[in-house]
Amino acid sequence: MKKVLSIFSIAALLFAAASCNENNGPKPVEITVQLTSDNVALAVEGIPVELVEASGAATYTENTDASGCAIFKVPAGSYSASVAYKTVADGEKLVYSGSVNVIVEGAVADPFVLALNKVTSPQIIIKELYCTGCPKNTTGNYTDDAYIILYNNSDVEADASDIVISLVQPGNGHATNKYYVDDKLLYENENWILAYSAIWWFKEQVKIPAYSQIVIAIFGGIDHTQTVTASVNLSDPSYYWMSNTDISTTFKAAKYSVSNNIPTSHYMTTYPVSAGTAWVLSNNSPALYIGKMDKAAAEALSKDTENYEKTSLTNAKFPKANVTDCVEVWSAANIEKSKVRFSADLNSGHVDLTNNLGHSVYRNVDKEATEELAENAGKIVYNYAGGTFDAATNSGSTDPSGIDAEASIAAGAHIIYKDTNDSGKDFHERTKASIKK
Amino acid sequence: MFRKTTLILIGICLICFCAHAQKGCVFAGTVLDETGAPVEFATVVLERTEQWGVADLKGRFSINNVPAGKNTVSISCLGYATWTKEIQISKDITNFKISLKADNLALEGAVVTAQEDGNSATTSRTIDKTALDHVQLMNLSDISRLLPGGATAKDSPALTNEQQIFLRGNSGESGSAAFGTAIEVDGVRISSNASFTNSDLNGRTGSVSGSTTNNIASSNIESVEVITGVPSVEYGDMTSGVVKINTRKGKTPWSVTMSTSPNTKQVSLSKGFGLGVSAKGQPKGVLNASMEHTVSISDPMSPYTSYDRNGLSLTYSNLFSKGALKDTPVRLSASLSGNLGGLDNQADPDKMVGTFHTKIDNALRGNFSANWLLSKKWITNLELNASASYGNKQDREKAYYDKATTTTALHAIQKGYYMSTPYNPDSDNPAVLLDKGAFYNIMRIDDRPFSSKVSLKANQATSIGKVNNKIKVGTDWTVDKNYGTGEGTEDLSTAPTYREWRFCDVPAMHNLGAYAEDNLMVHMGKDARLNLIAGLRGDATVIKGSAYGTTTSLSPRFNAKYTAFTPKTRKDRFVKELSARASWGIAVKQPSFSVLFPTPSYLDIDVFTSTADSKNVVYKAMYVMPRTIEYNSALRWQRNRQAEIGFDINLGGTKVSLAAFRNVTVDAYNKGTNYDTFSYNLTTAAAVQGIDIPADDRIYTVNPLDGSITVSDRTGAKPTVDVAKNQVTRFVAGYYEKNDENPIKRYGLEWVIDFKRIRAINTTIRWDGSFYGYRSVYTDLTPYNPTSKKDGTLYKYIGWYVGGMSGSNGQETRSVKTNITITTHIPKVRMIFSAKIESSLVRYSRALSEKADGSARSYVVTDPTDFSSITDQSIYDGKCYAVTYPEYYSVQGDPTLRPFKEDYLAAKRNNDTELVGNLTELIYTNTTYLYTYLKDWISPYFSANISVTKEIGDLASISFYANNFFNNLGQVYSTRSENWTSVSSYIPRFYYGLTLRIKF
Repeated sequence: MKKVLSIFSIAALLFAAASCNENNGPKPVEITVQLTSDNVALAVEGIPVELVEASGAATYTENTDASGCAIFKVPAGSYSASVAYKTVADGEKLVYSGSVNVIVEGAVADPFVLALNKVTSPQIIIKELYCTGCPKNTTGNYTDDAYIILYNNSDVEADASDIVISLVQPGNGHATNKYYVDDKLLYENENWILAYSAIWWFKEQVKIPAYSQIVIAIFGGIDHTQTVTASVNLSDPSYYWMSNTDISTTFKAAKYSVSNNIPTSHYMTTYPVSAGTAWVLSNNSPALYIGKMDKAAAEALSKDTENYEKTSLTNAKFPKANVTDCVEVWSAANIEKSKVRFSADLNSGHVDLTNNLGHSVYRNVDKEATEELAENAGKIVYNYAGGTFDAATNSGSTDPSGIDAEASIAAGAHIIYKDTNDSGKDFHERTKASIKK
Repeated sequence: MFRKTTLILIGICLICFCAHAQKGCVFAGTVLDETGAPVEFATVVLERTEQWGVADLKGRFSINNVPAGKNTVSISCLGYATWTKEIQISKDITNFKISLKADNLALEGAVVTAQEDGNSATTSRTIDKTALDHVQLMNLSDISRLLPGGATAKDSPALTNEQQIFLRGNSGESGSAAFGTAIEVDGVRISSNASFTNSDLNGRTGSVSGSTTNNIASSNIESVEVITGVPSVEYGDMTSGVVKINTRKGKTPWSVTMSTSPNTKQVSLSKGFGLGVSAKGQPKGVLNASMEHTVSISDPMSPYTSYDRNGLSLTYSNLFSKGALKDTPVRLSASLSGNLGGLDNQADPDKMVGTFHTKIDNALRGNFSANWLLSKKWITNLELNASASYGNKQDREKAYYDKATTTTALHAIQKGYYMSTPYNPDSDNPAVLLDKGAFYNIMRIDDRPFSSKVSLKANQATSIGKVNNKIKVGTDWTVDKNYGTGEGTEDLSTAPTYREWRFCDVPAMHNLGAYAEDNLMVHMGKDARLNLIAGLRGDATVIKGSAYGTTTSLSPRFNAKYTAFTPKTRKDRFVKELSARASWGIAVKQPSFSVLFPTPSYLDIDVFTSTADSKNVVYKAMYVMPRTIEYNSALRWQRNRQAEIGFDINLGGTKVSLAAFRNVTVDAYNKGTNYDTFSYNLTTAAAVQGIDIPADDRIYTVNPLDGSITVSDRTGAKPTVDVAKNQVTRFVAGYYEKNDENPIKRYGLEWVIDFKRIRAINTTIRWDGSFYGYRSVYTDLTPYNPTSKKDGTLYKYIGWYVGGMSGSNGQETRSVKTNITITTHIPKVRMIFSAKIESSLVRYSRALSEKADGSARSYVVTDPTDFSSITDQSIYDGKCYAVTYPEYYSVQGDPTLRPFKEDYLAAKRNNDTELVGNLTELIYTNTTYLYTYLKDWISPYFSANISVTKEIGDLASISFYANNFFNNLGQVYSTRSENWTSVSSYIPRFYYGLTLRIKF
């Protein structure tokens, strides 16, 4: 079957190449560079293709036509054709890159094929997870103030309407994990991952502008600072809230309230997968992920008990293909007892979190990509000091880019965060929740 | 019924009073001690005729009108060993002299174990002061370890946990054995009948519970008698047995006791004062005074949660035998005892700053007893007893609250919708809006149970030839009443949800009991005798002003004992003693107030929660529905059918005592549930979020009748808005007290073997043990409604389960526990040493799931995710995943009971997904563990205790003990879970204690 597909692909490619190169003339020689990706023509109009003469003496740039061909008229000689192209499609960031040597000798009949390497990354990522609470004014810790920030890591407005949020069991990274069989995750090689306790989705359309974010209050959508000064204010009208007003009386915890500031269109909802009394987001070491799934599909998945994982019947099977971003958090006090909960194809590594001190896990900045943005010139703030890394004890973590993302954003910069599918490289422990000004 | 009972009792009384007595002789003499000094207040009892006398200042006593014939004289006095002898009285005896020996370790017969009462026709054991001192008793409940097969409690001797005595039963069983165990201190019944607080503020359940023994002073106990067999009809309101505590009475030197162990410290002081003689020669009596201070902490590592016991006891006793009472003396005793103390964790730094939880456990007990020795033909003794017990139990808890928003506390007791409003001191405050932020509140339960009893008892002893007959008739009247104000708060403005429930408004429970008992002893041949006891007790319980009205019950009891030999006449024979006994009887336990008057409960439904304004003020509307307390007028009193056989054999000096019993509890108290449907209106927060009135200016009101929410503008700028609502219909549960339909079975065998003393090493060996079995399967058809499905929609089906919505509806247990006690007593050095190996040889339990006829109630499923994949395999056959179906189900609005299994399986076959989905919610699934119904055999385990007591002359004695002194930290294996776990769950930790007693 694969062979047949390959033959068809090559035939289609040649046909496409031929179709855009019917009138080659003598000198200057007209050559065609056909872009391909995954062995098929990349039929995208407007991709800039750069052709550089071997000595570097001349550089030509042309955009592709609708069939993915870029047509150059150049003297005979030796060239290098290359592409470095970024775009966004279907909620994903796509980066195409590649080059090919082109020898132009008189009339050139066949097109030159430039096979591009494609790298995808989600457009919407988890920028920050604040879940461990903070000290109360009197004594004890306060943990009703958790939130998640979803960020549009691209320069194109993102549609977050189909973003869903869920967890992987066990709730705590250091808890006994019954999904390890022979020291391997039960679902390591499956096409699904656990959706523990609940899958949350937005009720209405949600758009996130380029390089912008939305804040989702998880428990109490109120100004927590009124009673706990170390806490955060989650009552902003732009914020979203994981609603408990229309969920099962057995699932909601009545103590959670929402500010009147937050419009009902910002209420999320869910159908409980497990019959617990609340969404069991760990306050010290959750494994949280976001994915893309239509609301109706998410609801159907949650209700389809036949699809539940059978070990404990508290997890739905969420397709791995729909997972777009993950963060694996371990409690700093229990590192040795902790085990990863994401399969290697989704995430490796973990970010460690000190509990109950108002810390959060915050995404690291993609230094190179951020600095590359021309509009960021002079707006990037360096010497980030918000991490917890302590050189003396070699403990904690910080953003290795050294960029102070929040300060840079405040200065007008567009930040691109790292996304390597390794929570250890993508996140660090921040000493203060980013919305805590 | 009551009239018939009364007639029967009157008839028995007439028969008794018509009996004839023998012509009387005088039995008089002097009681001296080993030095020849008179023993004042020594009690001389002629056991066969139940006549008695008390020695005066010169040790002289006199008993008149003693029938001629054989009799058994028993002379006892505090501090002296009891002297007993059979004598022949054929004429006046006026110079009977006896020398009592001081009761100390110099005596050969000192024992440190519970001793069988050889004269009793039922199983009865006595634990004397020597044994109590040797084990350093701190809590009365610890006497259980001295009974056959008794083991040292895991947390002994903690007072910080409420301790109870479970005679022939264990904690956690249905038909609580502790509830059925009667405890009497000097005749004062320590009853839990009038108490509402079985637990505390956090765990008050309304279930039955036995009397706690924590507030009973232990240092002043002289002896404890434990009747586990079928007791005399004199004892009512009990089903498991009787524990009789006798405190010290008589003239004694000053006695100071100091005890210490890692958790507990105790100091006590006592003295028996002789009050001398009046000018007319009348002894003024003796006054015993005792004080005790005990402090017990729960954890030596954090010694802050403590239980304090400060006991004071005064007992006055005297004999009036002068003048007109010369031939008919009156023995009078009056006592007053009390306790101040309780549990306190106020100083515990591990707790939240400023919070505390105290449980005052004060008690005041009084008793008056007059025994009039008439020695008439038709009556021997007339005894009047009056006692009262008043408890002052104050549960007081200061809690810390820290809320991010305002919250709502409900105090409404009338049906309707309520919107929370700020606290107003001039209103009833049915729903109080509590401030956000941090605050404290103190809640309390004021529980003041009072119990009193007046009893009159007459007995008559007749001796005709070889036949002795004792007739006992009596009546008693008990009153139980609670004077507490119940649950309340010290500050309503910060109080959490609670409802006033005034215990003092509950009517008193009166019980009038009458009984008659005939005790016939036929002496046959040289030493053989047959003892037959038959008694009947009738009780009428009257609760005026309640649906219970008057409830009557009858308790017939029979005991028979045949003694073939006694050691007295068979000194040179191998079989020195042989006796057999059998008993059967019914005992009735009155209900406690927590059974009769369950705490009213309320269904509070959250019908509206507003969004938070800028100050985090959140209003709530609640629908309050009082759950009707259904006084079950058909409630029957819980009763036990007790049967027992026993043997006592002495083979060459080795004494063997066996007792086999079977107790069946019927009509055990339990809580029933019923369901009704009702509708209410619900408004979501989302419905008010977008209202065009600024959140801070909104005034929310609720229509108390239909729950409609209205939002108005406090500035008047915006028009009032009526908010849309939805009607919701659901079931509501009601509760009532009821009787279990199924019997609760307990059975067992107890043995005590005292091997012949090894004189060469002054050592005795006792092997005691018990086999105990328990089986209870709760088979009442019990409804259950899941309230709501996972998506919040309310569930419209009720499941009707055999024995409730659970995987198992019963349990069976069996155990074999044995103890080997090696006691070395060296009278010459006045020291006694004992080592006791406590072992559990068999410990078995199994969860049961079956119907009354034994048929299946739970089914094995082949696919744990398909609850219809049931098979014919028994859940007991091995590891399995199982589901439990209700027997029936019904639908909202239609009370018809439909067969669940048939309908569910049919719906599954027919692919009726809606019905399958609904019925699936009613299935109890046990698909996580494979071993739920497996037999659980816990492998044998052992623990060893040592105790040593040494007397230093007559001045002092010192005792030391070490429990689990090998510090066994081994593991036990569970066949059910196939796991090894620490034995520390079953045996006491390594623990030790020291007591010093000084007399002067």
